[in-house]
Amino acid sequence: MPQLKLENVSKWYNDNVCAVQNVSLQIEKEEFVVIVGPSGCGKSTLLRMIAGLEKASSGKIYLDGTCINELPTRDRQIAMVFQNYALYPHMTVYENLAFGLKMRKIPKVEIDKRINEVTKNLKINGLLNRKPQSLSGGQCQRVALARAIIKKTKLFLMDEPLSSLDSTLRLQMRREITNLHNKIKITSIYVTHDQSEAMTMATKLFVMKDGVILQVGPPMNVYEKPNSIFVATFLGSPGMNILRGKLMDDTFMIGKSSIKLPMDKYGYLLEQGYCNKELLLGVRPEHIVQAKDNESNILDIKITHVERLGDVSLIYSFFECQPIVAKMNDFTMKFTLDLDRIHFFDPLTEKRVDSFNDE
Amino acid sequence: MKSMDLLLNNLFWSPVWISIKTAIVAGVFVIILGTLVGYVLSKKKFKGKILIETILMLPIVLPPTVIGFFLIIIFGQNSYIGQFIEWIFRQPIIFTWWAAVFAAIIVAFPLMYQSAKSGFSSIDKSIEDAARIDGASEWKVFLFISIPLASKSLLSGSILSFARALGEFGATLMFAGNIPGKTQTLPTAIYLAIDGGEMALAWTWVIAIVFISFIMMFILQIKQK
Repeated sequence: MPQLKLENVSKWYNDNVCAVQNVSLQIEKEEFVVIVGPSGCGKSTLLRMIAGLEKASSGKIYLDGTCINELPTRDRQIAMVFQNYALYPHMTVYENLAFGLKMRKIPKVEIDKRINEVTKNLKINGLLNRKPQSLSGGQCQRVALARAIIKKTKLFLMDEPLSSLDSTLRLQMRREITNLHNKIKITSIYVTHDQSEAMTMATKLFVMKDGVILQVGPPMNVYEKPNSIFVATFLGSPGMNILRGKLMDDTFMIGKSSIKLPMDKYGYLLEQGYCNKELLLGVRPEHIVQAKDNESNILDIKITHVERLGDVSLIYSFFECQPIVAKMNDFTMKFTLDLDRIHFFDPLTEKRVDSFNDE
Repeated sequence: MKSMDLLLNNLFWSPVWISIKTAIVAGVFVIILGTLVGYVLSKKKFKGKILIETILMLPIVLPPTVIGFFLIIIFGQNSYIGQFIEWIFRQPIIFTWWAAVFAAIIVAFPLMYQSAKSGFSSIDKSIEDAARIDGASEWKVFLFISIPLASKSLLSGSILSFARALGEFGATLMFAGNIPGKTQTLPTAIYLAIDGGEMALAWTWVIAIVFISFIMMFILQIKQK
């Protein structure tokens, strides 16, 4: 039985604005699920409905097989970390951690024991008598995490918990949260707009856009086999390049340039009736590679800008008047595509159409 | 010496006590009611909310005589409400001490309600949500989170509305009258003393009310720092 199950859950505001549309999903015990999408895609609303902070307009939410739609937040046995920490500013760290336990009428001895254990774990045991305003961002984040895990709930929700930290701290906390999850194994749902957080932390990834879940799967699967242009361009830094062209038998024409495709790439497309039709070719920046001497598909690229990141460089350029970004270690002047790693998308449906056996 | 006599005189103390008593009773009503109404209106959205908020704020801008006029119309002996009150308490409310309390409540309420509402509105909603997640009922969220976080606004609202109740003049005079030992408060007493040329008496009362008001405003300034 899945720990959390959503059945056709929707959220409407004022009867005409739809924030979440018919979302159905299942989350198994001990999974670390990341819901990723641009801001305004409905991911936070979805999380707040699971928490009971917002009511679902339609659909059912099940926790451990029981429908919890009508259960008030306080009885849902969940923990949540908010974007701005949401610590109680008028209470000390100790009181912040104890509040949820007191509300559940846990005896003081047990409260002290748990606080001791959790604060040692998160290295905040020296801060117990401090008020939140005297803590740094990283310390606040740790207290917020401690306040959530101390309750030993069934479900752990996180709403963009790292977005207000600086980048170094963010990387560190990202690792700490992953380690924490490996240790305590609590079923977790993590909402973020940051695709790198999503890729690195998730055991299962949900990509969301305009209130709809577009794709679900292990992060690397989703990354390598995006089902739509949106997923392809949203994941990755930078996202996938999309080039408009036309399929002519075994050749893909982009402007005046031609790319000869291997049999396994064009065969299926021809079968699907894409011969002589417009298609979108997708290639990740790291799959634009240096051409070998005998390479036939050399791209005639006009470089406009190079960003050196230290280990790799991002090469911004135009190919047949279409923008394209390459990610390379060595700066080279001869580019080609790694043809095993390219994808094709239908320009109308924006769905991926190059393969039939990856779902 | 004359003023010493006055201080010991019942003539001096009567309006002081009536004013303080009126302001305390009205203040307690206003603080509780204003906090609750401010909380509800800061959280809930419903049709006609703006209309209700406008009506609640009206007593701040209306002349006290208009408030007195309405109080007489609504609670006077010719109205159903007035007759109902008279039937229950076997006497009309007009020209009683409770009338003074009632007038003070009406004029002081907007100050408390406005402070409470802005205090509650400025609380970060996710903090209250965090308390709900932590297992707190709505009542406990209100008590342990919202009230402490809005405490500065609630305190300033309380002091301002108490001070306003203490200084109420026009509506009180019209609705409660000016009966020495019964409904004569400091402001009405001062008015009458000056009218009657008793400047020494007026002075002592003026000093008394300035003293009380100064202390309250002083506390307010310290607490807001």
